[in-house]
Amino acid sequence: MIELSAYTQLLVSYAILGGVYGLTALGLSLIWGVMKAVNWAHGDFLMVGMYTAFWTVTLFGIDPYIAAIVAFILLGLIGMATHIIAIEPVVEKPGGHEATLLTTLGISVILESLALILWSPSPRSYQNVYKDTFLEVLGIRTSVAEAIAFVVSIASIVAVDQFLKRVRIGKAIRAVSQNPVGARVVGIDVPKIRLMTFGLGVGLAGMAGVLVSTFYPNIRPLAGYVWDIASYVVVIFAGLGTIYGVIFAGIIIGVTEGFGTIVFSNAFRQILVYVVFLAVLLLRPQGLFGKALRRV
Amino acid sequence: MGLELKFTKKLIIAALLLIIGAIFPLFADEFLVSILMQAYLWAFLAMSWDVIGGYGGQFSLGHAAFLALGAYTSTILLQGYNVSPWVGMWAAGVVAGAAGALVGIASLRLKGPFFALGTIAFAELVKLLLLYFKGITGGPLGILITKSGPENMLFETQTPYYYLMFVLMLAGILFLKWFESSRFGIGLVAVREDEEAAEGVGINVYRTKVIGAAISAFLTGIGGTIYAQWIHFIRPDILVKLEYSTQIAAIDVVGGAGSPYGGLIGALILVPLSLYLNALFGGMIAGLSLILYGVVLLIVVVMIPGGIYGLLRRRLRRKLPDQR
Amino acid sequence: MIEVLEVKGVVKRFGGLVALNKVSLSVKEREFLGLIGPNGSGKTTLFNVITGYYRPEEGRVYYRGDDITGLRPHLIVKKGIARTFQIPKPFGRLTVLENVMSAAMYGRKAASRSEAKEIAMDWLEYVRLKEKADVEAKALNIVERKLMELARALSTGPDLLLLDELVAGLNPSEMMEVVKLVRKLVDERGLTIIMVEHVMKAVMSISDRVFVLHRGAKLAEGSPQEVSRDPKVIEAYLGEPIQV
Repeated sequence: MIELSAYTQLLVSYAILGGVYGLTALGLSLIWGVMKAVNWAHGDFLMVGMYTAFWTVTLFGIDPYIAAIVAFILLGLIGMATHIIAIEPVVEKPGGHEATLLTTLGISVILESLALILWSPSPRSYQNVYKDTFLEVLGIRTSVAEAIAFVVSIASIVAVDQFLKRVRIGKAIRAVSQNPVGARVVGIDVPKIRLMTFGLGVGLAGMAGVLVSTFYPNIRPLAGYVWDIASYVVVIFAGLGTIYGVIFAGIIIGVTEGFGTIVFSNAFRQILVYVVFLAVLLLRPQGLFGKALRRV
Repeated sequence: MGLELKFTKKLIIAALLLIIGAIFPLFADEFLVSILMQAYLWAFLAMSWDVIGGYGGQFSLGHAAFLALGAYTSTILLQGYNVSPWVGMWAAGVVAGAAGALVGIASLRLKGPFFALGTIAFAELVKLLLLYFKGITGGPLGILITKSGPENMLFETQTPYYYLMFVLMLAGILFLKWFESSRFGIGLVAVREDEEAAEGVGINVYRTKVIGAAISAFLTGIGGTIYAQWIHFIRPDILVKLEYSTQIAAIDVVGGAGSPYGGLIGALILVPLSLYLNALFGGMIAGLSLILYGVVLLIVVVMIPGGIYGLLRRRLRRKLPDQR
Repeated sequence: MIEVLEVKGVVKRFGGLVALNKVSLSVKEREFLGLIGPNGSGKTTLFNVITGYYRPEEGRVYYRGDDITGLRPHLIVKKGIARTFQIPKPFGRLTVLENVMSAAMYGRKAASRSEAKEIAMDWLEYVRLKEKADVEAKALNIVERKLMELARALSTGPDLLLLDELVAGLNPSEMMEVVKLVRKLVDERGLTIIMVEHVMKAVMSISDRVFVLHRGAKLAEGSPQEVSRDPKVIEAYLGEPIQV
């Protein structure tokens, strides 16, 4: 009986992680949907979010959730700057998608190197009361930090969805993702929408970074890499361009990963993640919920 | 008349470079020799990548996996079965080539950035598998090369390694020059330019892509052997690095993908520069050379398509219109 | 007279749209068949089915008695069928010569490199493009691209040639030149040709027979004179009788 509860505990933990995967993946999904760009630096933006939380909490002693808002804005701005340098110049040209992979790879390298130089490779973490307080729901114990992270992730995804449906700019974003040419014809400033979408996507990643940092004691410059793969698995699993799909996909991936840890050794579990990733990429690149993207 | 002169000029330049390259170790100090030598090796790796990355138009970011597979094959044969790397390197190429064929098959279904993502995942998978099968590969402890002697491609000083890599680099250039006007090479470029039209002239696009990837991986695997023989120690996490895959691609893109000289040009610029920066700032700030690759990649992709070689070609073409 | 190509009851659907509706057609050796019809009537779709780019939902395609339905395009080339595309598809960064050589090397002849060079030069000369042999294909203008595509298709060594709107966009004198070149292919070199064309004057003057496609189905078939006077054809497509 105790065994079962421990397993469930672990799976819930991973499901929560999955929720945050979903938030990160949402950013990628939006960026792909609107401009068919691949953002290889996404995990690194998340990493910057983590450090934002670390430094604002350590230096100013403020609550990490306020740092989340700071991170959202800060990363949003950084994202827009990145967009101007690395995305907009290439995205409309032929071969633009591959080019964005290259340019964001460059950005990723730059971010990681800067982080290494500025903040050194040693892992950081910070104390916060949420990490140490626990909740008990239906017999499952989680830290408040994890619980809030999950709730905020889901809430953010819902908020984004509503934003896309009700707010004018949001609707413009949807229009561009469905038909960029048509959007231009009806007078939407497509480059500006792209800029804002990229900023939004990156801002979400930054926020996810803060949320993760509240319960994940391992803030390092290269932390982003793990998240890159995980969020890409989720995005592709859900289907590039979907919104709510990422919640389900995130949770499924999170739980699968957790399941993998229980059943298999750590090494094998990692192998499993990549095998699943490749399998999805090859067999069903449109994911569970997306529409078919490739023409053969 | 003008064309003949241009050809002779090219020949003279090439001969001069060859001679300088050949006698370089005689007058330069070991440090410089070591830098140039590494440039040659990376140039060769970039040229191998160029077969599918440049000529094939398939942007792979997983080539470090082929490097590792090659290195492991020849090293296991050497340390475990006393097979000289002079022989082992061909086996290394075959093993890497087989893996390349798998990537080639994947390229049939995955286009553009999806393919790149797939190769990144593939490389990670290879690394994990190398770590997992400890019995064969020594797992996370790696394999130390303890043999010695030129018959085992192991030398006491840098100079023989210099010539080894010099020859390798030249072989790469000669291969690409032959390749780009060979039947298969033209077919591969045709597939890159327009798959449907390629099918329409009788090219089996599937087979071409798979074989192209296999060739690229085969050559990279051989490069892996040479690399292992030089560093004497291999381990999955020091060989299969996304940085290496990126470096290979970046060097080729900067120098000029889809050309015989792009790899060399890119390597001659980027490798000494990054080594210099590393030496200047020490191992602590390992990120700086990576920043370099990132920035350079960014600049080239955004502003100089076709790389430096492409830039040179365009300048030259203004003097001789309508010529290639 | 041997039947070179036989299309039997081909149906091609794209989702809900029926692009080809039980189309049957046959072409005899050394025939010049004109394929006409309004835009969207399915002419290029039919070409794509014959050459293996599309798989039909129903029906079969026979080449000299062999069932070639659904074979991949490169295999169909090896059987002896070649085609040009409505919008030319050059291998942009290869030279004109390399473009045409690739066809000779990979086509039915499977020539060696040196043979391929000869074959390519011959065909380039035929289409009057020889001086541009070493030019990068993407530098060519639209007329030159079409001619190169013709030379390329011919270099595969086909018996049956499918031409998709070869003369559209050419001025009258260019058009006459190309029409003569193409007709010579049948008369002097023994090819069989199916030509899709909108320019009525061109089609009617060089075709032995004309096949009219309308909304994915056969509307009429016969000699140019018959077809141009057919009231169904006039109503659907021509507007008024054409002087042949």
